[in-house]
Amino acid sequence: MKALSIAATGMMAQQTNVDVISNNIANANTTGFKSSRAAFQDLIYQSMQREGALTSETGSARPVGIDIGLGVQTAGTVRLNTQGGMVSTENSLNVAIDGRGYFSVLMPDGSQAYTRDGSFQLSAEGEIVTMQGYQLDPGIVVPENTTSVDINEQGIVMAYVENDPIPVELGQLTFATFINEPGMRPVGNNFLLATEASGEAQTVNPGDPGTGLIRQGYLEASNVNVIQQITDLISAQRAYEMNSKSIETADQMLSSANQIR
Amino acid sequence: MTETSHISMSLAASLQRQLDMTANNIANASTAGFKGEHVVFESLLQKDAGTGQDPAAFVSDTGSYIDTRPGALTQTGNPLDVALHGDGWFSYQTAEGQEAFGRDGSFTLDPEGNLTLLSGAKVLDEGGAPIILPTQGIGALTISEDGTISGAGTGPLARIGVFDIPEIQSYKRAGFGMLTAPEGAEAPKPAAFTQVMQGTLEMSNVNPVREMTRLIDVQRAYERTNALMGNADTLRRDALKRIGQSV
Repeated sequence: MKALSIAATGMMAQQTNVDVISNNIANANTTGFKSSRAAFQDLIYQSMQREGALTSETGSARPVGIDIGLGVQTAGTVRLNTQGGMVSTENSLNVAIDGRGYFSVLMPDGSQAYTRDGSFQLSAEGEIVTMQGYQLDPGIVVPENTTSVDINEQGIVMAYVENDPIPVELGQLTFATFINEPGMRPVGNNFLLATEASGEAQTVNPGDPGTGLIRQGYLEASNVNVIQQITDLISAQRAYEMNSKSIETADQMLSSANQIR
Repeated sequence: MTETSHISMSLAASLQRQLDMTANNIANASTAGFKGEHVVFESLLQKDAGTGQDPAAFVSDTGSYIDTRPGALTQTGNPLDVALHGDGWFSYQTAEGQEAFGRDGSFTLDPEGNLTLLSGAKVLDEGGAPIILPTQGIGALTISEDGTISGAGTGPLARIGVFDIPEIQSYKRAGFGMLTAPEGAEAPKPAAFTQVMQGTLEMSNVNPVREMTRLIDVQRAYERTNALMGNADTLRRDALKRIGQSV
């Protein structure tokens, strides 16, 4: 009786499902967060009787076989890269990406990380940094006595210094794009890393064909659809219960077999 | 006399397999594109079972079939989630280069731009060649109802193959959402009336109510056949005891 182990794989799969859904709900208010979905696959099948096996000397063949599947496994968690809603913050250093692209961030160990979270701040030296204090790559330094910073849709950063009516161009915010965005690895703190699966980062300017634009004074909210998550949570729980019923049935059948004598 | 136990046993063995199958259906209740598997029972008539008197009917599960009914469609919003509306199967190429078919439309891209399943199997176009998309400058992908993939402003790039397989029951389940053709099977023809839906996934077609009632059915039938085995044993013991007394 394989039902016990088959149902166990089903319960483990639903546990993963609930884990992923809980993380989505927990991050419903995280800037730039993208919701994930656990995707499942059936495991291999054991053929008790093969399709096409000969059933007579005249060559008649069995039209169907008996295939018993061995359960389910998690194929992966797929990140849904749709646009999150735009939230106006009126903070000149809050920028949202409207479309495809990631900000490239220089981590303290010198490696690159990527984020959709554009809630930037200034460091003591005037560099534009993330909430963790990590610099953007390429870095942009805002001079002292700047009265206001203006970032246009193409990501060009301009500063109005003191009473000068003509702004100083400080640089351009660039985007990194990836062929397979769900293949990036999330590492927390709203950062994602490039992997073999995502492919190399391609540096593009905002507004290039196929990439997004910069919206100053806005933040991108998470794209978690809370209602969908709750309904998914309900079906995950019921599916878990159904699998436990399979186990219960297998158990009772084995117990009835034991009672034959 | 001994046939009673053997007939009961033939049913018990078949029921165990049916339980395994039901457990597998339930375990895959959240697997995209999964098709349930059901068992077919048949009575195997044996004319002169043992004693040459009355015919005995053994139970045999002669085969199992794939439930091809469509699963529920769920809106995911992911541009690479594709569902088929109507009959038809996607065509994949496994890592070993074998062609396989299935209804799992949860696609992704690999770094070379191949359209793949999450397991890494490549998705094939209508001509049976892997679909490769340009890795740069294609923007948001749109997939039309006939399966044509186009990028933002690039025009058509490829077309997802959807095939009609009337003899799907003879295909072998390979797991990972795939079915492989039996030897000597004809190459499937492209499906004519199947709609391809972007941003949607076809979920498992496992019906929870039917599976739960089947669990109950299986368990009770198993208990009955075991009781029958127990009765046959008691009868035999009784007979032996009486024979002993009469001597």
